[in-house]
Amino acid sequence: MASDGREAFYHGTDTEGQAIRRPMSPHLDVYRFRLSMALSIGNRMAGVVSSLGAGLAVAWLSALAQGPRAFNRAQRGATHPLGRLIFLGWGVATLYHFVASIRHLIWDSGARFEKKEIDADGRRSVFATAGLSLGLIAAFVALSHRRNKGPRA
Amino acid sequence: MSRLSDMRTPLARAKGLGGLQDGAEHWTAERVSALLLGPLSIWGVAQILRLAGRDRDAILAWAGRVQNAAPLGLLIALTGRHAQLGLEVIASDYSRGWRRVWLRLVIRLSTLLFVALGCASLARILMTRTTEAK
Repeated sequence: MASDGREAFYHGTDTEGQAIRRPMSPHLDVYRFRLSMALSIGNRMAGVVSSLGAGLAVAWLSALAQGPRAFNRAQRGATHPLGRLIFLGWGVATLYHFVASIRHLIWDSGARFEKKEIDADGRRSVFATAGLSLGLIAAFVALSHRRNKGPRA
Repeated sequence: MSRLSDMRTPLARAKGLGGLQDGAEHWTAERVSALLLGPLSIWGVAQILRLAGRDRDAILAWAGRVQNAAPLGLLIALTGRHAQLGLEVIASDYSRGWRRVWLRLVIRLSTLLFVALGCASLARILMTRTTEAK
């Protein structure tokens, strides 16, 4: 077999777990990009991000339980630009995971597996996530802005 | 024995074949926790909007009410369980051997710790509210 760039990736393990050099079957790189690929791996990543964000949310709850000093520290972190960015990322990831899980439950029932349906639902899930994210973030920002201004002014 | 475990041959069950050893039950548990988390997450988002911009006293008063603390506790417990199941699927897909065993242990412990911290915090808030009310 002629030597080409792919040989650099011919690292495998045999059944005993010993390293072995051998050709690998065609993998991700031989396929043309499709939206469904990105949405599939995106759902996994969104699940991980959503879990990590939930961990931060519980840390925030424990700060609330600990007392005013711990809570003030947590709120300083949450209202810091980086904290807001993390909150935004957590929100978008969780919303996408929610939308994608509805698709998965529909697939589990055996429906919407046709190629055209997969493509159409994929685009819909992107629009649904974007719409939900924009709407909810706008509502959150508007509500916190109004409540912060009201009683203190 | 459940119908799902009957779908595997006795030998497959005894040997614990597959990345997760009990894939059928794991798959079902992931779906059931997802179905329960659906309405609870919508409730959670509504509560975040309800509390946006409120001060500590208002948030404590909210968390101190049983009708809020109960669904919040359930949300935390189910999130921990669903995260454990999902992360285990990812770990079993991309790791093998001892690394897989260690990853699974780390996932189980950290998601358990997540639920414990959430419930302990909620309990403390509820107790503080009760003491203040007296």
